[in-house]
Amino acid sequence: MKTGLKYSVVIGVLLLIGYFLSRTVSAVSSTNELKAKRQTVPDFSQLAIQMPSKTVPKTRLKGRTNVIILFNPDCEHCQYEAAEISKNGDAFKKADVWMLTTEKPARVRAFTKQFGLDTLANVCVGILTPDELYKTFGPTAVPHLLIYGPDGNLRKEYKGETKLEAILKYL
Amino acid sequence: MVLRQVNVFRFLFLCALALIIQWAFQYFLISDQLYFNSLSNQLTYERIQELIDQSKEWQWLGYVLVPVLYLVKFGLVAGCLGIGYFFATSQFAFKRFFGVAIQAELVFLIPILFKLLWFLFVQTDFDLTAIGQFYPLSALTLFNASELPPYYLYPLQVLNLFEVAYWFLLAYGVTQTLEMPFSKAFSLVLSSYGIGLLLWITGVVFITVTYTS
Repeated sequence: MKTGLKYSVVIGVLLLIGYFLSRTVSAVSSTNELKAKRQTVPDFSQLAIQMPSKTVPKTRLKGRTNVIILFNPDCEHCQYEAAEISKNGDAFKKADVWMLTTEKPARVRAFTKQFGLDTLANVCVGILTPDELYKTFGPTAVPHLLIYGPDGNLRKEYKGETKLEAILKYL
Repeated sequence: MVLRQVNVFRFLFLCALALIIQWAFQYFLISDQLYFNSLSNQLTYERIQELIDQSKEWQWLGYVLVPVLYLVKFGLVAGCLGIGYFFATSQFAFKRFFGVAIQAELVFLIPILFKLLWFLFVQTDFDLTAIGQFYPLSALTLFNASELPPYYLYPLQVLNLFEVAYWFLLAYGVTQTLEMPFSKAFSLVLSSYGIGLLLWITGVVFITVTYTS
């Protein structure tokens, strides 16, 4: 009985290590693949993005500078970004800003109204599913900013809260 | 009863030393200027100031957590050694291993002290990332940490000469406490604590890979 228990524990620990290792290896390869996809602006026409506040043609991503901000309405740092964009709407005239979240439409609508984002012509607040978000951008935390040039290539990526000047530098 | 008193004394001594070094780190290295230098590329002056105020407000938690984290660590190390010993002899000796773990832990204060002196006198131009990534005499020092993916950092930091010294100290402690030949004690350490450490590292790497954005 004791010998059986000992072997079970040893096998259990080895299996756990094996599980972590195999998951790590597969996670590394899929994460690298997804991170590589971030290098070019995503094709929004392939995604079922809901725009609770307004309808914007998804083709607008082409030929313009695009700022994609992944956010959560309840995150304090995301609220800071939204407030900064709202206060400095004119500074973003040269670009389209896409604020994307996985939260519920009612919450997103309230957030959009709270910061007056629906009044800015070139700011779109959209919702996509967690699965779509992961498949398009890979593992991300909020806020996560991606700035793409008119050629569709990634110019700058910021993880976490980012001041206005740092964003504008890359527009 | 005597063993318990000795362990309590060792534990308090270790915590006192760790707290002094932590205080010295905060006092000598972690200045407001360091925060500004490290974060000003991305955050505004006001937001950095808020961050500094918050970190000062919660600084006490860092000190409170020292004995708590040590207790958890010693519990895990003694647990690993205890399981290994039980497998070998069918006897329990958790309390004695707990004392061995406290004693051996002293070796890990050396790299922290080394780090403090390094940034005080050698690499005086540094930022928060440099402090976080630096681990003396570790495999990480052979690479340029900023070019490595985040999941490489922790295993390379753990692979250091102090860790090896820790294994020897654990084995020495086991030899002294259980009157076991050193070679046997070292095998016990490698086969129990070593596997536990491997499991811990793979777990940390797995979490880092999965959740790093």
